[in-house]
Amino acid sequence: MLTAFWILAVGYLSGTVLQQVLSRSGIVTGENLNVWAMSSGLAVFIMTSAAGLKKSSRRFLASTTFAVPVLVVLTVLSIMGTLVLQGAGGEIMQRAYGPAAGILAGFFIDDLFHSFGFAMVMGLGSGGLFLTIMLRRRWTLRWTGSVSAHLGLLLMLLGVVIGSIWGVEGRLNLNEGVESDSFYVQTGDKDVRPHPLGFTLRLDDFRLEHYDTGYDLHVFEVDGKERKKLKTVSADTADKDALKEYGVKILDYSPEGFEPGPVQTDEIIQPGAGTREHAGGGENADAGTNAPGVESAHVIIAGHHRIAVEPGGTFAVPVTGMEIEVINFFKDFVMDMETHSPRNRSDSPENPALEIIIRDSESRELERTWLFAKFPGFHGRKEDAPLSGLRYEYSGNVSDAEAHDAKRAMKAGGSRRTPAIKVMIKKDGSEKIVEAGQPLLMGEKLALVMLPAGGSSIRDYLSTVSILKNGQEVLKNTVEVNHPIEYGGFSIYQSDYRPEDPTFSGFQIVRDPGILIVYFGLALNLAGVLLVIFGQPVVRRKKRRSQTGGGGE
Amino acid sequence: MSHNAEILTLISLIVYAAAALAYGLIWIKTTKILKILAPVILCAGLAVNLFQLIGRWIDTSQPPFKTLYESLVLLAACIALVYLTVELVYRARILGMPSAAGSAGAMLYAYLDRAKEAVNLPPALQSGWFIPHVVVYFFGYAALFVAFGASVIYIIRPKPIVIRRPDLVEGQLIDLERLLNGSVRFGFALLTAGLLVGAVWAKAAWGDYWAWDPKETWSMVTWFIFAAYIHLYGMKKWRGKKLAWLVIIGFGAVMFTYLGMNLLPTAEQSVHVYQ
Repeated sequence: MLTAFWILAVGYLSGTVLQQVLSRSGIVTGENLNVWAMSSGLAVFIMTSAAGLKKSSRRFLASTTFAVPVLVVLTVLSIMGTLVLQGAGGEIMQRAYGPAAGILAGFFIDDLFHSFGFAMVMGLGSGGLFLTIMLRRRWTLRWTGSVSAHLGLLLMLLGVVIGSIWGVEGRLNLNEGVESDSFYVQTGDKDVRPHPLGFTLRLDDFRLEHYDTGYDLHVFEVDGKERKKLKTVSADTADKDALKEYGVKILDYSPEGFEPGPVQTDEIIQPGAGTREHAGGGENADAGTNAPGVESAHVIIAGHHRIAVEPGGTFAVPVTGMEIEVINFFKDFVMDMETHSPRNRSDSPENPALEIIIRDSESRELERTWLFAKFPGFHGRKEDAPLSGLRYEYSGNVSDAEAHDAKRAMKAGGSRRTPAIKVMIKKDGSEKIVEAGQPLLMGEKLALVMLPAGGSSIRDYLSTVSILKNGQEVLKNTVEVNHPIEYGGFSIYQSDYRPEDPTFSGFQIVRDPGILIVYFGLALNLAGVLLVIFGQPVVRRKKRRSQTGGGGE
Repeated sequence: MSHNAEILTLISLIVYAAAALAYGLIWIKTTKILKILAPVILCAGLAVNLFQLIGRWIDTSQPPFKTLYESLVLLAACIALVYLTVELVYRARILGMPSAAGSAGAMLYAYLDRAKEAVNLPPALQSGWFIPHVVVYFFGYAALFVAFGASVIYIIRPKPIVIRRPDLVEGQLIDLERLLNGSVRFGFALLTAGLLVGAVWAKAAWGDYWAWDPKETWSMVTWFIFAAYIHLYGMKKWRGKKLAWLVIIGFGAVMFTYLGMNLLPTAEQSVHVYQ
């Protein structure tokens, strides 16, 4: 087995060296990395299979002595790929691993599953699979099962290679009434390039359906980034003292929200007025933060509150006792593959993004995240994350009229009021309004937050789309999660929505010429495994019975 | 709902623990009463467990497999069901104690879990693939748990154990290794089926049959480990304690896949992580 481990180690390291050389010479780029990696794996597969022409090599490569080390090395690599952040970019890697980030990047462990090294180990393993199938044995039930299981794996890998080299996958965001004849493929450097569809896709209608399960009020223990749920009660509970052990009395719940209290709905808090330095931070920031009608290039929306922010500043979020520090702004955000850091692609506001740190009242960091003005769901924050409902609006370089129209459209779409609950904090006798998704910090450790009962309130989202050829409608259908539609060799999946924009729908568009081979391979593998595991004992039992009956086969 | 869940979980936990005790006593002294009583208590625990599962399914009108609490309740039932099948087939009660203790352990974890409320199924989980994917995997986990119990016993007591089975040649022995091997093979077949179903479902939901999600990757890791077991079983020098240790390592990987994803830095965006 030691020989096998050596072969695999040499294969992995050769792949790493080859990838370094080709990347440095500019031959391998983020965009073609997958194709190169798959091709290198394929080349190693062919070489391994060819090595099997020699009988002794064939026996070794098709043996358990080779198969088990392949499984061990793949296990180790797979585990490494889950322990180290994958494809996170230079800045995040630097922050997470310090000086070790360079070593991880040098060995491509930061994108391990797309590395040449991993592909070469897979190539060696596939060669072994091929030679196992080619070994001539007696066609017993066990051997048939074994061949089927191994052939299935090989076919599945073939399907993966075909899909990676000749397939394409991308995204398309549309608003109702808007059509497109191309979608956008994300290239390795987080940049995108358009890819033609061969037809026109039009979004006719988008529907976002909600569960009608009401809201729950949760008490969390907060310690830095850790959050532990202590108690949950229904927001409309009749027991107003249900949270008395936490010093909270429930006063009133309204699914429609309450008339604004200290801070007016949709009023903008000026930069400076809400900063820690000026307002004293925390809950005190409520006072003196009203400044209706003030515009700013950057507005962070937290529930009803619109907070005008500037990069470099720290801003209090009214009522919650939390603060937001804006540490970075990019007018046209892209991730640079060379430096693994974000950069401005242009001076046009194509993809405005803010990097923020959310802090508690003691200025302890709760979370560091990005907010994208055009992709509110992109940062993928969970519903129970601190200030989970944060959104970002950017109005720089946008004409006043457009900004006005955009706001009006947003208000028209956002007529649904935010549910809220009124509580009394017994400690100081103050009354507070807790809006859905906006936590209220009570002292150092406790937070009160109202969230949809049953977790996410989104039940379904679905789009009615039309497919047009030469201006003529050829298909009208509904795309729903788990129910993609197929046309022109593409599968169109429902993949995204924006709660604040009910006319928006996001689609994943995929063409995978290897998919049927993958499915066939998986099914063949399962059939083989079942045959080996369950077929063999049945035969053995029959044999035994016939032997005890005096007969025999 | 949450109150009922707590009571039923506690009852199942107590009954499973009693079954573990009864099976444990069989190890010390096999009596006729214990041989009847132990499986009866285990069946009673299973009945409460299934009542809890089915009741919640009816109450919430959705399969109760979404939260950690629900999955633990399902796991407890699967372990008991798989073990009872083993007992029925092999007429062997030696794995009764670890299996009943496993069900009780899952129930204890469920009982201590604060989040017993049902949660709404997100759109991606409202799929016909959801039930087969979860059920197949959990029966696979249960079979591997039984194999894990057998491995531990094998390492402690590697002597052949007499098992009465009517269809076998009279007087023939089935040693614990064969029983262990049967459980691993059954579990491995279910892991393979679970991977296949998961891949087909992921393709239908997101357009990718494989996305290197940490849970997917760890499912593959467990598959690799047990695939290595299947291969090594054919090599005589690996048979015995070495393979029993491999099963223990493999089961450790299964448990990490099931419960450890929150510990991984790569799992923040995973759709598989229990909240």
